Amino acid sequence: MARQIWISFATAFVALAVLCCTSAPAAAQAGQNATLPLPPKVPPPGDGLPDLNGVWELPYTPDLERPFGGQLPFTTFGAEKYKTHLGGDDPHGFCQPTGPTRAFHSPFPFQLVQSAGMLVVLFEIDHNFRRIFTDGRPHPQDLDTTWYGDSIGHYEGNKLMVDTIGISDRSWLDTAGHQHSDKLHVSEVFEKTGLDSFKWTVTYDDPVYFSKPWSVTLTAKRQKYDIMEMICMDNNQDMPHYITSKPGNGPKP
Amino acid sequence: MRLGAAVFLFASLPVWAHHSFAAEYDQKQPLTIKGVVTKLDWMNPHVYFYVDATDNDGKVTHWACEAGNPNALARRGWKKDSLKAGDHVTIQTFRAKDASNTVNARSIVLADGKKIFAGSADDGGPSEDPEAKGPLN
Repeated sequence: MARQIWISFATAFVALAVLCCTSAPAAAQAGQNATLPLPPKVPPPGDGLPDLNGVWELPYTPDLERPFGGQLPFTTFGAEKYKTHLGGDDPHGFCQPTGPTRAFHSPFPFQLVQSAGMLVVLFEIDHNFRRIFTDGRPHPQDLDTTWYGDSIGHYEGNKLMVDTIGISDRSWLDTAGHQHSDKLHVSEVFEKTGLDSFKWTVTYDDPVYFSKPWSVTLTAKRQKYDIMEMICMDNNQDMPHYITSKPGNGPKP
Repeated sequence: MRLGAAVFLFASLPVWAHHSFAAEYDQKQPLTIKGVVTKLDWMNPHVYFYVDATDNDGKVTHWACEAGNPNALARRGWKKDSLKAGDHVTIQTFRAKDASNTVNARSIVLADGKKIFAGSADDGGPSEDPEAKGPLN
């Protein structure tokens, strides 16, 4: 009787051990931090505001003409710049910043950390961030242009409306080579469409490059795992090989 | 056979990566390389691996080969040791425009026929290889 109990116990133990080892999720074997758990939950912003907290990803969009559905409404100047640009002059090929919007539709997720007065965007790409102030402040006067510009926003129902100016002309809007001037005025709408999705609509208004404002809409999906570190200059072996008009240290102002 | 492979790759050529493919690589210079991996650098923004190819006369050519972004590859289940020094590989590539021994690897096949690192997500275009699967699939 004791022996039978012992055998049952041993069998159960072995079965459990086998089950334990073979049922480990495949994800745990991937390594390289691809499946690290999500960061701690951030409390919702309250005040009836849409909760945008979380880790998200938008569809990779190297060419904004694709979601736009055709050629962009260029000015003569803008069309000529696009026609004659060199892919090797892409500032991001030299790990210079993406600017506020290109990072969103890069092939990397981002984390949104939201309070009532500010939305912080933590981009996986280039380990960079963006802040959108929703505390009612205006844009500063006499703003110097910067790579990421100055963003302010306000809420309307389930939408966050964002206004960005002061973006330096050194960034490109996308990998296809669509460029802009420092007159660029970007408007964005973040519209929560469900627990795990939001629509991002971006409008580009730049009278130097485009004859009228134009928009694209992409849908963000909530991610299951954390963002990873991505340091663009960790091992950029491409730089010496680009066919570029600005060799050496890369694109200059 | 070689022409067929080149045609296939042509049809599935990505136009863009996170920087322009055409800024560096020549879609008119496809190249198949058979050799031995000597080193793998699992780093951003691109995984790089180095291959020694020996021709019939015993001459060795050293190739620097660019693969996809490591974060994207890791999310598809690939690991740092999915490819390692000593592995025999056949790679379909495109040469760099500057005549250096630098290539962009479009597909990597191990000696046992296993395809790895294929269809890297950051290309975004039609280069996705429907046959290639990561370990998580």
